[in-house]
Amino acid sequence: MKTKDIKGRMRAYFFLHPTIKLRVRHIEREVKVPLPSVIRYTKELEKEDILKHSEIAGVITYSAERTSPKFLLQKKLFNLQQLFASGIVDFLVQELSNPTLILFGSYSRGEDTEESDIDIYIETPIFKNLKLEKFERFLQRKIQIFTYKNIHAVENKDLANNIINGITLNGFCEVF
Amino acid sequence: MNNESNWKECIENNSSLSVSSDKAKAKSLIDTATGRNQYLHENEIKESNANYLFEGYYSSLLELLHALVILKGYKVSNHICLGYYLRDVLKRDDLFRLFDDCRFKRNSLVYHGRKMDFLTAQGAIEKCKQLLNELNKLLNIPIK
Repeated sequence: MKTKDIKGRMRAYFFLHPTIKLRVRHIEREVKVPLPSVIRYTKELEKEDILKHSEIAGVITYSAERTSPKFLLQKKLFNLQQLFASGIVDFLVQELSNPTLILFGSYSRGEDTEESDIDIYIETPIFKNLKLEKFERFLQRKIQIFTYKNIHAVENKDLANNIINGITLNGFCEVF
Repeated sequence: MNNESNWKECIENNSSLSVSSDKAKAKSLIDTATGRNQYLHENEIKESNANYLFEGYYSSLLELLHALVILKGYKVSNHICLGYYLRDVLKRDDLFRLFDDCRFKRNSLVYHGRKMDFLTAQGAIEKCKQLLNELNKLLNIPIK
């Protein structure tokens, strides 16, 4: 089980840091796993299309294979899992009396980078100042909240289209 | 945590029991709901009473739902199974969503003491009214 965990931790690290390029020694230090495991699992993760390597002047570095459909799918699932594990969904459901919640934008597609925000649409008639810092710390991303009474109140068409193509976290969004 | 995730499981767990259809009981429930609704309509929705009015409308909803299932020969002992009846038997996903949202809000209020702010409570009352109208249609009650 521990074997799986090391690989999982390495995978999670690259999901959280999709633009980083690291040598195996750096991965060892950053993820805090033994070097032989790093060497073994970087190869395995590369075979799985999660990582890729590049060689410059004889130095091999590993980074996330962000264009691979496998990476995107696994990252999307990882992001969703993280979001629920952070407790933010439960928090919003309790705090705003069961609103419709939709995750949209790059985070919902697994295309986010370290600089990306987590975009969440909330359907609620009220505007509340929500304290989200602890969730931001857990998720290692900024959270941007879009509060509207309903989807018809979103005047920006691009934004509305992005929202309805997102992932529903709670409730139901009535478009028609 | 609820034990059921659909109508079939409600039947299997005896949360929904097969009984004889009881028109008199259904009529009595409909009369109570209609009377309460008339009283509730007389009250202007204000910040101070919105949560309590919502509770009243939700009670009427329950009575109409119980009337509906009793006419079809069922006795249902929990709220969520009433919702599953709408979704799985009547195939009214739209009504299930409305009811389930009201159920969540009512449980938060009654069991956890989480009052809704005025606009949310007002919205919840509107949802109850919308659902009451639909249930009136299903029960062939003239809508006033």
